Amino acid sequence: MHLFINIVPQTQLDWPCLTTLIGEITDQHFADITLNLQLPTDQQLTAEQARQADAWSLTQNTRPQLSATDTTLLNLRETDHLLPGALQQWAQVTAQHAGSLVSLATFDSAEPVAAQITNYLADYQDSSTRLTLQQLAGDTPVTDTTTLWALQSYSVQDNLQTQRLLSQRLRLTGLLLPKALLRTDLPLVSLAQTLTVLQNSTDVVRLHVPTLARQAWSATTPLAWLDQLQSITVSDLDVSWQPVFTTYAQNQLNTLLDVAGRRALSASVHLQLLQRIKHLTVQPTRRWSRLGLLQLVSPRMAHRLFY
Amino acid sequence: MKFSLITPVKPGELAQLQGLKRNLEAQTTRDFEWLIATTLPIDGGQPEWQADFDIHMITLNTPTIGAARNAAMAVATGDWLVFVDSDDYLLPNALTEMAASQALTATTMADLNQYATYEPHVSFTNSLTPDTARDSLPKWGGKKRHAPKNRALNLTSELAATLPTDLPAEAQNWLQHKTRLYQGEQRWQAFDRQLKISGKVISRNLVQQAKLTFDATNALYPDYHFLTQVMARTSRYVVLANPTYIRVRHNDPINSPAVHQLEVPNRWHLRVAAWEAGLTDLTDSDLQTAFSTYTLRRLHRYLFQALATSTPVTVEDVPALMAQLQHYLQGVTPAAFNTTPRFSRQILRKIQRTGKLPQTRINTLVRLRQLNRVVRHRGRGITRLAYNWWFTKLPVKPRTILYESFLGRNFSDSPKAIYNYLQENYPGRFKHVWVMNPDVTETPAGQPNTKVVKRFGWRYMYYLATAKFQVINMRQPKWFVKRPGTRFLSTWHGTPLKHLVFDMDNVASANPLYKAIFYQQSRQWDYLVTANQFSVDVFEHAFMYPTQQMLPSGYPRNDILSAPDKDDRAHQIKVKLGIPLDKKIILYAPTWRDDDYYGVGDYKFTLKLDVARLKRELGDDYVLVLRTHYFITEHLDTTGFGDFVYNESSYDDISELYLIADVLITDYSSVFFDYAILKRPILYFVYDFEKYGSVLRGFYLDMATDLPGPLLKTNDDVLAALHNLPAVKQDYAAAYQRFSERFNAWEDGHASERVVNAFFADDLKD
Repeated sequence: MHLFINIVPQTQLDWPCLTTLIGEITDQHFADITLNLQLPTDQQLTAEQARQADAWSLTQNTRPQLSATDTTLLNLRETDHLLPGALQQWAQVTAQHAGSLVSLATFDSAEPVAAQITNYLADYQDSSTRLTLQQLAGDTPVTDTTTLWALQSYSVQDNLQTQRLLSQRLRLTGLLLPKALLRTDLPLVSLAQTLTVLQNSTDVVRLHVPTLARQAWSATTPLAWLDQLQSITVSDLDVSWQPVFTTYAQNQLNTLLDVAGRRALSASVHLQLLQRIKHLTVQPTRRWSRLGLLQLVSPRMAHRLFY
Repeated sequence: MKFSLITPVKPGELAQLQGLKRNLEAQTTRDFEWLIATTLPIDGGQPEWQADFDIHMITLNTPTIGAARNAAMAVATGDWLVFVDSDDYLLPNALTEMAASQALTATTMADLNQYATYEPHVSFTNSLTPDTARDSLPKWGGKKRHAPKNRALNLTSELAATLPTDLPAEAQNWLQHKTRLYQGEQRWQAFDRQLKISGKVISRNLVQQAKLTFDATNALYPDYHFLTQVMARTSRYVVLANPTYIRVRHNDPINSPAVHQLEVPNRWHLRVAAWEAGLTDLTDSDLQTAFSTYTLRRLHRYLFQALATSTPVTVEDVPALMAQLQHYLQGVTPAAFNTTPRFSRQILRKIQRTGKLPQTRINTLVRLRQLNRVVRHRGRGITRLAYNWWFTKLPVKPRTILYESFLGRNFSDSPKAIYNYLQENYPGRFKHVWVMNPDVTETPAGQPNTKVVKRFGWRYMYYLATAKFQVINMRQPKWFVKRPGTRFLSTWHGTPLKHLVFDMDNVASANPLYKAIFYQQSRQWDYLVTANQFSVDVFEHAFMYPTQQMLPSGYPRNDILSAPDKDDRAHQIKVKLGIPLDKKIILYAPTWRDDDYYGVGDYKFTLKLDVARLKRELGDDYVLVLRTHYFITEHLDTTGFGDFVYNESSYDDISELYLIADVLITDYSSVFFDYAILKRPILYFVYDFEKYGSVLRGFYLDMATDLPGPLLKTNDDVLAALHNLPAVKQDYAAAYQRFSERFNAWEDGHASERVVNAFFADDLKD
């Protein structure tokens, strides 16, 4: 695997977060890697930052393309975190399944990762794999990282259209996308690109133990996520995918309404979001969902109810 | 470290043994010897038995598996005995991974991790392409709920180098070669898996010191005593985390049954004897309880069904079995009884006390199980239960005929032709019952003496049980009971093009026991309608069906194509479909391709035939009638082609479409056999001919030489042929003649008459 990591800032580039992320990547001493920062056109690095970026071999392209040597694309936010050994584990899986989309299990980067690991391992207290490791380790304490590596496993899934799993497979960051399935005429970070890859896949590989900490776009940049959802013209999709994507999009709109209501957005942006969603002419899948309710009331009323 | 692979071989297994040799040659280690124990006279000196690892042939006198394994163990020189059956195979890393796991100690029973499949080794190997994932496994052939979902990810050596240095070396190695370890309190977990000999790795030293042997006298169950004794002497059970031993289950129990598929009337006697031997020498109370629990579960799960009076007799000498079982149950750990359900436990206790068969209780238990299944499925299956319990006890209704075409999907095919013939020539003589799915619009409902019943409904079950005649063009349900006095006519539904049933190598994509089920179902057919001598020859080996029960009649459904009034009928059909009478008709009937749905890079549901160009160039003279798979039909967009395209994919009777078509375009579908009766031109649009190479190998016909029309790979070729049909006819006149003589010699328009006279003979007289 030669991995092209494309880092997409949330809105305004968070330089300390980027520094941390680059540190997590370089600490893994994984050679086959290319780093790119997809900086928005209205932002620029300072001279010092540019010098540092050069030192990291971090290129800056607003519309990056994979080179001939790259085999796999990973889009990340600068606020994401890589867990130790992540790159090695990804390389192992992609070596077995060179042409498959790899969906990565993740922790939430908004919460302390250490606490999440503790909770995660508590859930696997009695797993036979963990018990085997403990028996072999005897009295020696086993680190959390070692235990996560012990539990690591993957599965090959061919139920591509299963609604329950689509949020794992249709997202902009945190997926390993094989170059062979990418369309060069679409941006690397776009729902259209990810959807194309999924549609043209025969299976998806799921890496079960988290190797990454990230946040959903619906939580961090809901308007950008709404743009992405709206960028898909359902009638242009393959007929078998049309109902699948419609349901997925409606679920995502509900998620947006739910997440955005938790005052992560300013009141004005929340109202703007409601107005845009309201104008989408979609029938709600469930009447008693937030989306269903928004169809019945004005955005202003919905803002009062949800916010 | 050296492995001794032990393979017993029965007569008839030589070919698969050579397959296993090729498989072992791919092992990534050579630190093993292969011991083949057989009664077959194999000359180990022949070149085909040479390899870069040692192969030893051990000739046997006693032809049992147990004796074979004992003889091989006696001459083994390796530290570790590995039991590999001749029909199974290993993944290339199996032995390397087992060695690298460092799990093998004197007190370990190890396991290569068995993975069950019905896919033969050759089929699986042939299915691999350069793009196939490196960790591919054949299709899972075990119970669905037991299918392994996750694959363990081992640590790379680079990552392992970063592990804390105080972590014991054993644990560090384990992270790179993961296994599942059962010891201490977990020792007897996965007990069923522990009791399977295939893929086990056992210390030769342990076996020698304890003088452990397989039971050479028990032909079916030689392993229990050996395995329980090994278990008693080992403190750990270690299984590789990922499967490396592929156990190939037999998909053809009729011609090559596995040992457990053999129909042996004293199977239960041998099984109980083996259990008794396995339990006798055990001193560890936990192991005793685990083994007792295992055996009682098997009795609970399988014995009662075999002994119920509703089941065909498969167990001989039941009193002797009961006496044997009484003795065994008296030795079973009492605590194990508590693990079986109450009603089952009562039956087992009764046998333990009296040694007699509690037949009434067993019958009740089996019936309660059937009822429970219906309740669990919220009433689904209640009609079938009624069929089994009551309807099959009712008297057979004379002169009642049950018809079913394509599982009730439509009113068509040979059953329809036979029905029409009887209605026309013997009106009022019979009562006709048609099986139809609820959503079918065109049915014979309302016609004289005709009932339409819903498939699997109450009335369906009633008539299925009581109708004297059944006329069906596919297969009857698996649970159908052929009652004395009833007669079954299978019309089948086409001249075979693709390999059928016993000619198929790999049936893993269908029901893995498809061959056995088909065999049992086809034994219930009194007659099988055949369209030509070619079909007779194929059905004889593909269905293993006796030729004397085949009707050499031609297909009743094709009578319409030779009818004297076929032109009038064609006219009526055109009017019915709204097709202009002055236009000629192209019928396009492509076959369904599995990869239409998820073909990488393909635009699905798009016809490869350039309809727009066809319309542009031929629209003045022709219309196009489409006949595609119903799944495509629902998504096919034919707007924009105006009155050029008629999508008749859901039209009931394809024979009527043949009748109106002036030319047929098809590919790998068997429709051309029937259409050729009309002697009209046939074009084969095979744009993916090369890609279909592996599929075409499974055809009875050589598509390159046997066809009555040209193979066309591009739209240009198709258009050129359509523009010049007279030339095509001329070029293929001789081939068409040969084809017609071979496949359509019996089609003279009187097939229905011949079938009716043969099948209903006695009931046609006054």
